[in-house]
This record gives sequence, C-alpha cells and structure tokens, in this order.
Amino acid sequence: MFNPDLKRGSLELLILAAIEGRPLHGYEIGKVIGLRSRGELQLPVSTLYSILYRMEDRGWVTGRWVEKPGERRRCLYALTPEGEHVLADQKQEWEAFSAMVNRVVGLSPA
Amino acid sequence: MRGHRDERAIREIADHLEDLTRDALARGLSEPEAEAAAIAWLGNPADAAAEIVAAEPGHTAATVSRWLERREHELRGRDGVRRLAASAVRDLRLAIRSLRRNPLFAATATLSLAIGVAANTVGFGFLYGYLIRPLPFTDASRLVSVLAAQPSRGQDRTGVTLEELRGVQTLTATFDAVAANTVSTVNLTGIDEPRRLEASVVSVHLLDMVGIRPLLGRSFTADDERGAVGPVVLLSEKVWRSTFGGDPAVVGRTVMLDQTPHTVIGVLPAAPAWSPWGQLYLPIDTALLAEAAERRYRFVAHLAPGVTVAQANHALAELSTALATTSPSEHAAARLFAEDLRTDLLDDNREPTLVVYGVVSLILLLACANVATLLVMRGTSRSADLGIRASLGATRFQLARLLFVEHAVITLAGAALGAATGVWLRAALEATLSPTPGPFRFDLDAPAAVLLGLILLACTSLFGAFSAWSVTQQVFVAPKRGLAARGRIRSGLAVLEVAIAVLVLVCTGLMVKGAIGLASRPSGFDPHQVLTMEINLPYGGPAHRERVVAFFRDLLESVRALPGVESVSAGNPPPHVGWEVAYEAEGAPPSPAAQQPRTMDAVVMPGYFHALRIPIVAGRDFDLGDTHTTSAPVIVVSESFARATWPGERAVGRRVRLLGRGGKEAPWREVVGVVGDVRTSTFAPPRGWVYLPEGQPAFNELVLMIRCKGDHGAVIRDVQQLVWRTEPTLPLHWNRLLDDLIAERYWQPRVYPRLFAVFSALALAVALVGVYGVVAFVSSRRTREFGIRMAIGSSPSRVWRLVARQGLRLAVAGTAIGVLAAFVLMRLASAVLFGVSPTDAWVYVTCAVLAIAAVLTATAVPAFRAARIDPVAALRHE
Repeated sequence: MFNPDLKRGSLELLILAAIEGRPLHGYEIGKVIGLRSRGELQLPVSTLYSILYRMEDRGWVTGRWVEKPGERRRCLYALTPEGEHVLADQKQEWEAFSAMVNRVVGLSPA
Repeated sequence: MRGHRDERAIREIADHLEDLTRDALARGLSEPEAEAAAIAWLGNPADAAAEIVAAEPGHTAATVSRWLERREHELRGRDGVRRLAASAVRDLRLAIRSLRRNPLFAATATLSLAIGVAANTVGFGFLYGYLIRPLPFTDASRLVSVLAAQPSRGQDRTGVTLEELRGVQTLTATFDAVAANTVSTVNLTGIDEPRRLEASVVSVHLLDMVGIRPLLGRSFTADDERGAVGPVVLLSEKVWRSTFGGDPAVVGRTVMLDQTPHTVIGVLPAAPAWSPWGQLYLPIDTALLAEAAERRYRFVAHLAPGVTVAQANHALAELSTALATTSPSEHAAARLFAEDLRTDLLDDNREPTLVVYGVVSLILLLACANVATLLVMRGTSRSADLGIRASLGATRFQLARLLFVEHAVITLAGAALGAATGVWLRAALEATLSPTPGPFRFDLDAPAAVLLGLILLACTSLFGAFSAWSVTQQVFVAPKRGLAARGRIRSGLAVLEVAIAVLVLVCTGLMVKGAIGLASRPSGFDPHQVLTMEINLPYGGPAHRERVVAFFRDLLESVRALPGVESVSAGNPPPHVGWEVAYEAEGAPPSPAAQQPRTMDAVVMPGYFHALRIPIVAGRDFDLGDTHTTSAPVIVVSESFARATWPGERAVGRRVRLLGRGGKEAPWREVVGVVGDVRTSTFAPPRGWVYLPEGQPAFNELVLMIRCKGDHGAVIRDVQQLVWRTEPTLPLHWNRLLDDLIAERYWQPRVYPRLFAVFSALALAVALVGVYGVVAFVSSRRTREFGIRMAIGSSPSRVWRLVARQGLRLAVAGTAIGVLAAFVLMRLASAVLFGVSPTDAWVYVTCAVLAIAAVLTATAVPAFRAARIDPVAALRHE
C-alpha cells in the first residue's frame, strides 16, 4: 500500500478517470479503480462518496438515477463538459509532475 | 438541497453494501461472514458518516471545530479513558457544527430556554428567601413567637401581657426559654442631631437564645436587667456606622436616650433586611413592665426538646382557658398561641410568593417543552442524516448521546443568556418598583443560585433525555410508523404552551384590573405633596397637657407662615393607618363587652380636614377653643359612622362616648361636625372614623401633615429650625411624603401587577415561539403538497388559509384549555388578586382574544412563506 499522503491528492483524478467514457455508480467506480490498480488501491466507501459529492458540487460530475431493466435503481455518475476539461488538465499535470520527480530522484534519464 | 443529498447518500451506501455482500457471497463466504466483511469495508462508522456529511457546499470548519478535530486526533487510539474523552470531544464537535449549520433552530431553542431561566432567576430569589433560606438564628426551627388573639377587639395577632407571660413561663415542659422581643421608640440626643430610633426591647438572654453575638463589646447579662451598672444599650451595626462613624471606641461611651444617660456596652452585627430587629437594643426593665400591666409585648420562645408547635399551641390554649377563669374581664377574649418564628416574620407574603413561583415554574416548563419540541421536530428533518449514521453502524446509544450533547450545548447557552437577562431584569424591576419592601428584599445568593441551578439541570436533563429518546425512536424503531403519534405530540406541546401562556395572561389581567380599580377608588383624602413629620415630646401626662397643646398650637402657627407651606395640621395616627376603640351612642341599648360597636379614632389639631382635603359635609371643624383641657368634650365623625349609628337622622348634636378611652368614665361627647369617609387600607371598604381634638386627650406624639407648595426639603429644614428653637433636643422622625408612606405600606397592588405583566410577556413569547416552530415545521413538510396544489390551480391565498387554519386550531384549543384552567386555578391565587373576582368575564374574554390574535400573528409568517412558494421548485423538493 502506498503512503496515504501520496494517495490523497490524486484520488479525484482516479475517480474522474474511472468514469471517463461511461457513467458508473459508486460500487462500479470502486471496482474499476481496484481492478486497474491491480488490487493496490481499495477506496473506503466514505472517501469515495465524499469525493464524488464534492466534485458534483463543483460541477465536474453529475449523478443521475437510472433504472436499467432487470436491475434496481442506481445513481450513475458521469463527467460534465467541465469535468472533462478538469480531467484533461489533471492528467497533463500528473504526467509533468511524475516525470519531474522521476528525473530528480534518478528513476529515469534526465 | 441538503435533504436531497442525504437521502441519496443513504441509498447509495446501502446499495454499495449490498453489492459488497453479494460479491463476498460469490467468493464463497457464508452469509454472516459476507455481511461482516461488507461492514468492515466501512471502517469506523461515525468517522465515515462525519466524512460524508462534511462534504457540504461551502462548508468551512470553524476554528473551534478544527481545534477539536486536532485534539480528537491526538487522543484517538490511546487508552480507554482517552478514547472516552475522544468520543466526548467528537460529540461536542459534531454538536456545535450541527447547531452552527442551523442557526435559526439554535437561536430559537436557546432563546426559549433563556426566557425560562430569566423568569426563574427573578422569581426563585423570592421563593428561596421567603420559604427556604434558614433564619440566621441558632436552632431557628425551634423558635416560636408567642402571640395573643383578641377576636372581640378585631385583633388576630397582638402581644402578650405580663400576667399572661407569667403563665407562659410556668409551661416549662413546653418552652425551655422565653424572652421578650418587643419594640419601642426612643429619642437619641447628645450627638450632632437628635434622632428618633427604633429600639428592640429584649430580655437579657434573648440574644444568647437566638445566637447573636456582638461584634464589639459584650452582650447583656442578668445584671443589666436589674440595672446593676446603670442603664445600658447595644447599638446595631447600621447605627454604629451611620451615627457614630464606626468608631471602635464607642464601647463605654455615654449616650442620652429619652434624656437618660445610657452606657454603650457593645455593637451587634447588621440584621437581615427583612428582620424587625431594631436599631438599638435595650434590656427590658421588669420594674417598668410591672407598671404597665395591660400593655402587650412580643415574646420569643424556644421549644423544649421533642415538643412540636401543635403541642405548644395545645398547652397555650389550656393556659388561656385557665387565665380566663381566674380573671374573666381582662382575659376573657384573649387566646394565646405560638407561631413558628419564620411564619411570624415573613407571613405576609407566603401565598403571593407561592403564586409567583408557580407562574415562574410554568414558564420554565413551557420553555423546556419548547426546546424539546424543537429538537423533536429537528430530529424528524434530520432523520436522513441520522439514518446514515445508523445504517453505518452507529448504535442508538451513540446517536442519543450525540443528541443529548446538542441539547446540553443549547441548555448551557440558554442558561447563561437567561441568567444574565434575569439578573438585569430583576434590577430593572427593583428600580422601577421602589420604594418596595416585599419580595425584592431577597437577593439570589449563592445557596439559592446553586439550588436553582440544580432544578434547572434536572428539568432540562429530563426534557433532553425525552427528546433524544423520541428522535432515536424515529430512527431505530419505527421510521414510518408513529408519524401520526409524533405529530400529535408536537401539536399537543404547542397547545400546552398556548394554554399556559393564557393562564399567566389571565392572572395578570385580573391583577391589573384589580389594581386599576383600587387606584381609582378615592381614599377620601389627598396625600399628594403632604409631608409628614413625627414629633414626640419628651414630656406628657396630666401635668403637662396644656404645655403639650400649646407647643403644637404655636408650632402649627409658625409653620403655617413658612413660605412653601400651603396648609398644615397635625394628628395621630396619620390617615392611612388606624386603630379601633369601642364606643357607645347615647340612647342606644347597652351591649356586652364582646359585642360593643367599634370605630377607628384619631386625635387631630384644628385644620386637619382642610390640610388633608377631607370634605366637611355637616357642622364644623374643631377650633382652638376645643383644644383646651377644660373645653367641652366634642367629637367629629365620618359619614359612614353617622349612617351606621344614626341611620337617616342628623348626627350633629348627638352624643357618643369612646369606651376605649376611659371606659365607663369616658365623657359624653357632642358631635359638632361630619366629614367625608377616609379609607385606611386600599383593600377594605371605608370604616367609621371619629376625631377628637388634641387636648382631649393631649397626645404628646403627633404627626405634622404639611401640604407643601414645592420642594419639601426646604420645608423640612425650616420646620426643624422652628422646633429646635423651643425644644433643641427633639428629633424629628419620618420627614417623608405621605404618598411614599402609603406606597410602602400597601405595595402589593403596585408591585404584583407589574411583576406579572413581565411574566406574561415572557410566557407569551415562549408560547409564540413554540407555535411558530410547529406551524413552520409542518408547513415546510407540506411544501411539495402546496406546490402541487398551486400547480393545479389553487390560489396562494388558499394555501395561506390552509396554514393559518392549523395555527388557528392550535390557538383555539390552547386558549380554551388555558381559560378553563384559569377558571379553576385563579381561586387559589386570591392572595394576589385585589378587589377583583377571580372569574371576571371581561378579563377572560380579553385575554382569550389577545392570545388568539398573537398566535395567529405568529402563524402569519409561515403562512405567507407557504403562499409564496414557487410551485416548480416545490415539486422538485424531495
């Protein structure tokens, strides 16, 4: 498991990335992140939803209740246009940041 | 917006948990294991809940919250006690945060409680002082006053004669000590200005008996009673400081009392404000006592061990019977009895105090009920938030504890605000109602404050526990069921509040009406701008009669000539007090001693009626010719006396004699004038009065009545100069306006209506807050319904009427109950109702209308809000 401090700043990015392209409900978001991280990252329920709600308040995602046939009603979260911008920005920033850290620490060629 | 989010959060997390469980089952875990795993995913439920509900738009943690958060982090994870402290701190933090997010609710609840506490701060002091605070005497509960009743003379409490006392002293099985404690007045001269002081004349062992020790010098001893070292006196601390400047060398000094040198042997500590202890203390002179055998004195006795007041009364009743048989004429009508000392000292105000405190307790109850209602209503609107916590594993106890802490925060804030307001209110009342004796003599001292604090704690804890239980009941036991029951409790509490407010209003209304009635009743004389100065000449008796009358005659003439004096006369007693004597009218059949007719009498100088503006309706006033000891005996009577004694006939020229003044040897007096009635007490109807001219008898103590044109301070000084020209050592007493004397003596009709008006306002305020809360809450729950109604064509005014109707129902129900309760209970409050029937219809109707109008006004705000709802927004409201 990674250091909690490292994780904290990037959670929004992870969640936004998880729902890029298709709306998911909370449980599915958690599963996607778990899968993509190969089990390294298991988001606590409270953390997941609190971040989702914050991003909803900022207008980055919207939650919509949808009833799929054969399933019960779930609240699906999707990116708003602004959320897509934010995701793109955050991805860029993360790339630049991690590259810089790698260079300084000597994990990649300068 | 918030409610919208909270419900969603619950559903989402519930679904999430379900998915977790399903996956765990799919992985091969058993059902209980799967559920446990799902719950474990949540981590600490309280923290989880806190995190979720903290994700609010624009939420900013207060400095306090942050500090608390840091403390909590520090404490968490350590040993058990720390964990408990951490829980407490967390609950406190959550409570404060929750209250800050709902400022309207917090303010309303705090204000309600503050009102209740303020009312109690004002009222409890009275109750404590009158009924609870121990008297500052040793073994005070075993001290009794020994008194006599003479119903045939219209006296139900008076002193005891020396012969009766000797009888009491033989009852050694009942009383192990009896001591005189009677009052007198003396002239203190030989200092800068002669003064007239009240003296407690006491048995030498009284002070030891009640446990009063001197500050300086020594107390009385048996030698002092015998006069072994010459006349001695003890000063009170107040006199010592005001007259002798607190000089420690006062012990051993000689002072002149009634022109006799007395040695000061000590100083006694200041007496409590309500006690009748005098400004000086003199040992009772048993020789003097023997001279005035029919004089009555007050005595204090200490009950023997194991004897109750009832047993003492039994023994005294037997003694009375025995005395009656040995000397029938004097004692036939006197019945001895003992009364608990506390009752004797404070008796005049026990009932009104209880009424006051009854009202004040009701207000507190109202306030607590209000807070409980508000909490319960808020609990309903927070059911989603609480539901999250519950579904995340918080136990009922934890939630109840959280709610209780919220209640505690409100209680502390409300109590602090209320106490401060109460103290201010009490000071304001005291200032506006002075000069007051009565309840304001009692401060709220430390023991009283502690007791009050405990009462408040008990009351608020009870209501806090109830509301915590009720709210968690909603969450855990029956979320959907019991809605109707809860609604009934809510409405029931609001109705109760209105009923109590109406009750207090009716009580006030009755008092105010009574007071107005009393004030408008003519007293028969005009006391405004009348200065009273008591003069007590040191010489009297038959040898000095002419001298006494001449003094007053000359003095009045000189005073009349002063600038600033409109008119002057003198009399004893002044018109607002009086005593009774038996009389006989010429030609009337003789009656036995016990049934002789009685009248009030006074001795006056000529010009008395003119000075006090008492109308002369027939005949004439006295003139100087009537004031000689050799003048023909004459008398002036009042209208009601004339009507009662000679109904339908002319009174002038008839003759009466006063049996109380000389018995069967009293001279027959011719009626020379009839004057208007004078009312001694604001409560009683006017009684018959007769007036004798000064000189027949010659009183050496008269009260000057000086009607002043302007500032009476100058008049006081001038009169003092005039008096001291002939009598340089004569102190002048009172020097006060008659208005003030009357106001002080009859303070109840002045004080109680105002006090209760304040309480009424407080009670009504609390009730209005309660009703407003209920109506606003219910109407907010119906927002969606109103939106639908308006969307399908209902007008805003119809919605307004819907809401207003609910308020009206509460108002009418509460008022009806309140009126009914008042009808039953006002009879018990007769002690504070003066001159008004407890079932005065006009007052009831007015108060009912007032209450309903007030409640409707409180309802208007939520009604208007409901009518202005945007239907579209309402429909979206979940």
